Amino acid sequence: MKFRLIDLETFLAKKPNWTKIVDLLNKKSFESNLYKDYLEVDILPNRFSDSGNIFGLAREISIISNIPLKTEKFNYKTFSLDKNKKYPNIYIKTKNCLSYDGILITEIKIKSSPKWLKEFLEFYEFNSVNFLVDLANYSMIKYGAPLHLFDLEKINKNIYIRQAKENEKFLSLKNTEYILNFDDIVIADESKILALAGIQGSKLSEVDLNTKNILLESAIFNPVNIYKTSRRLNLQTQASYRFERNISLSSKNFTLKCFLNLVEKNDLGKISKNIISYSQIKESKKIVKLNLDKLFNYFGKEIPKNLLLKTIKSINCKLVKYQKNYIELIPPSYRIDLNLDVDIIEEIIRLIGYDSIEYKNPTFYHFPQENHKLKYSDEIKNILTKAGFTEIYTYSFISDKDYEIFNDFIKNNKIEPIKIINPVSNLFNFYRPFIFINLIKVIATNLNLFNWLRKKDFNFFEIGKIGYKKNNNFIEEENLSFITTDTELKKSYFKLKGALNYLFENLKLEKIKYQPFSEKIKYFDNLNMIEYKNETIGILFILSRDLTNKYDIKQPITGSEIFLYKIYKFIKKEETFKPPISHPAIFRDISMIVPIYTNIFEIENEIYKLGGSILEKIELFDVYSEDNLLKDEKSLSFHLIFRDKKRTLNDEEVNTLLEKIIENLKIKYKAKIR
Amino acid sequence: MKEKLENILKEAQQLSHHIKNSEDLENFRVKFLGRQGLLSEIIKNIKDLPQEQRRELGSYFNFVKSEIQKIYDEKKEIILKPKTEYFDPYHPGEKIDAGRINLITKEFNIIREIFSKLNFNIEIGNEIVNEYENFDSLNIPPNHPSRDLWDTFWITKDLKNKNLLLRTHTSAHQVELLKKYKIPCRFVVLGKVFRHEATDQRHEIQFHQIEGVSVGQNSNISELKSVLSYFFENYFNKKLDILFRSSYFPFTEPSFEIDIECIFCNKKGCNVCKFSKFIEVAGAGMIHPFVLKQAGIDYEKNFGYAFGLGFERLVMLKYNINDIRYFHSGDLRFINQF
Repeated sequence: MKFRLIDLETFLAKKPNWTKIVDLLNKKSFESNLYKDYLEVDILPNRFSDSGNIFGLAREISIISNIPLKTEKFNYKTFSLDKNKKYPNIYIKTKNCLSYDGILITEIKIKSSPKWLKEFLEFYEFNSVNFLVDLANYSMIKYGAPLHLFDLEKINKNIYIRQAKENEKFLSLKNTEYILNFDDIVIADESKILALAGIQGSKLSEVDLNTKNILLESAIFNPVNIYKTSRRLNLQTQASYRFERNISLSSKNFTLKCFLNLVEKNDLGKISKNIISYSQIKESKKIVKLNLDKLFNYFGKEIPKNLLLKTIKSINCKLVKYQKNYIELIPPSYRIDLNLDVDIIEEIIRLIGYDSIEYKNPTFYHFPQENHKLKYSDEIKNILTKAGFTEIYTYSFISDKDYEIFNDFIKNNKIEPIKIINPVSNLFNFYRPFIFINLIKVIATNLNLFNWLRKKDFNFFEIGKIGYKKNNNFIEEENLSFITTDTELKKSYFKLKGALNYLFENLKLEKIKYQPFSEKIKYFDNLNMIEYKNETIGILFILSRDLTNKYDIKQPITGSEIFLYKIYKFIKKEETFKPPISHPAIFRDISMIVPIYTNIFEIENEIYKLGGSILEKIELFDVYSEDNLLKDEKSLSFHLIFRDKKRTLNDEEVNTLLEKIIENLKIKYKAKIR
Repeated sequence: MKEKLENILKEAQQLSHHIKNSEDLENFRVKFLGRQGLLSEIIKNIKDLPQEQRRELGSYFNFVKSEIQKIYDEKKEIILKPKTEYFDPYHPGEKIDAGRINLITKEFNIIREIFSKLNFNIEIGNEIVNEYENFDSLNIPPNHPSRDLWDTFWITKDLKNKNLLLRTHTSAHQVELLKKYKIPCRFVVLGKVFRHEATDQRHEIQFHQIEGVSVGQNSNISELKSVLSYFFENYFNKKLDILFRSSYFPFTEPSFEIDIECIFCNKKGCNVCKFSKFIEVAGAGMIHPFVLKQAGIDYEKNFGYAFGLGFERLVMLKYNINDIRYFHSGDLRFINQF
């Protein structure tokens, strides 16, 4: 909020050194900046009710600077109501009206405001309406509480302050109609709503050029209702901003007196005695008991008695009791934020100054525990960077377009993505159910950025949180995704699989299997489940050309997404040394020709299955599909390593086993052994 | 016979000087060492000699043969060895195509390490939390203007008090973790948080926060001062003045904001600190009794502090990065610099 220096100075007994004041404000109160003739102060939300007005801020400045505060004196005459005339009765019908004063001002004169007032309002960003309305705003800016004026002639008999009925209609000053509900507080007469309490008056009760008599309202409403109503209707006003942050009785009374004083001084009308004076809140505050040990503990050392007393006095707290271990005090009524002992502690510490708190080194509370998940994810990151992959952090959101493209894939995983109710744009509509979707975009970005270098191969990975809905439960998990691209599918895919193998090898996850998806998924040329110990721990895929085209990428993309929570539990915490097996291994090679579409994983799995416990390892060492072969055939060559941990194998048993394997491959895969 | 052998050796030695190419070399081999060569002929004759002579000549024969073989080998090495190419030691080395750990991870790990040394356990927490965790448990009641300080991405809106949202701050885990750890304790939550706001050089819809909590008999503002001062000194590798300023957060009382001395101008004033000599880097305070109560802690007897650091803000200061949007851009021109 902005404050003119001259306005603040009217409340200060001495002209302050503003540069020093701003420094003090920054340290002890609020972030502030000094400009030529005004201050810009970021008043904290809990302090707006006491400092969000000229008088209140001047009071704060007086406290931190020791410049005495100068207060205004108000006096005005009030007349008793003519008993023969009929005036509205005001009935409070809701507990959410906390305080209500109604005063009539009769025989009013509508004039335009003098220059000084117009300038004042312009600075504080208010439009000038007429002298009377302008003074109400002026009083509010000075003392903090909103006032409201109703044209008395427009009121039909009595006034009711009540909750709105469902679907009741309110016509605003700007002639907009709002539909109300039970949360809203209204000021209504017998037939219509005169004002949406604490927010705005209605066109139907507005003061205009013909107004003769007015009803002046000075009230406090429950901040929760005002907050709810103004948010729901998206109707935020100066008044609602203040009511949401609560108004103190003290601020309300000062504002009212200031206004009435000016009405009389400027001869704008005759002021009646209150026609209603209602309040369910009291000016005096409760006693706060402050344990001195607690205060000194917070502060880090003892505070001398005289400094403590001086500070308490400076914030206008009334000291009730001073004991050895505790004090009792009553905070000033205008500080509705001061209720607990810690609130008082804050006041004392900030005013004495954070600078005077000493540094004390921490002592040991417990032995630090390692976060295992972080340790594992670090390990994985290191493995993947060694494999040539660069770590990326992408947004945790996917777009409408992404969802549409991957709809078939997501549905097949039997999950639903989590929709954001209020996305910033349709690029960020869903919380990501998979990470790789955004890594595709990173490929597109970098292909563009490095096009001039003709760099076409990229390998990326990301570890992060993902989420989805399954059977109406919201689930959050951690995934690892990696993705590769190159000009040739083979290069990209083998890079990816190489990295996968390297990762699993390093994590000591052995005998990983790849199981093709049973259904064809739109936009995936190939999609496999990665399985470990009969659990799906991830997926491995080749994206189709149609898909890469949708992201403006003209080269193949292959990728994988690993469900980390499923592998964390398998990662061995300790590594144990296994002595090399002293029994010799027997090597055999098999070369075969199989139909070109034969799945190599399947063949490997089949060989492993048939090989049983003595087949230590298979290694594919050669694949080719040209030369003297038929077009729909390919040749595969494997090294087979047989070994038994406990004994030396003999050639005969290995040959028998190999025969069995070959026979099976012949039958199952139409393999021709070379 | 011995003479013959002597002559053969002499001839071989003389001839060796004329071996200039592989053809000469092959002729030499055929002539002396070949199956029909001079030495083969001799050996045939030696076989027929009486045993005593055979032994004597045999050893001389072996001597000659090995000498000639030596000559042949030496020449062979010279002639058949390919000419050494010119080796340029200034040729650039092989390009290593290793991957890179992202700056976010690197800096996270540095920060983790510093706080571990300060006796803080490291936590991550979930990104999807409920309204109670993110707001109510932290003394931010519904329909209160203090909620406006956090612009929120909502996931559900129809579950009373348990609505889900993307956490707007890592403070969302305070109550849950205080319950888990029991007091005294120190922990830090590092993680991604989300804000529904318009993005620009300094604002992002997602960024990271570091939330520190310490509850115990020494966890007061004095300890906080020394913890943060140690942290900043170790993170920026520079002793830095810190400044506490009064502030407001619903979940701490007292609350303050923490500035560090501008690392660019040594308190002389510059564009980065807008000539204020200090830069705001953290919010902190003593944990509000309301929050302690939510965690089942006796707030009359116990107290503690909490602080929150904006991760990207620190990293941007450290490396003079001028746009927060680089962090999640996936732009290798950014990533590969670190």
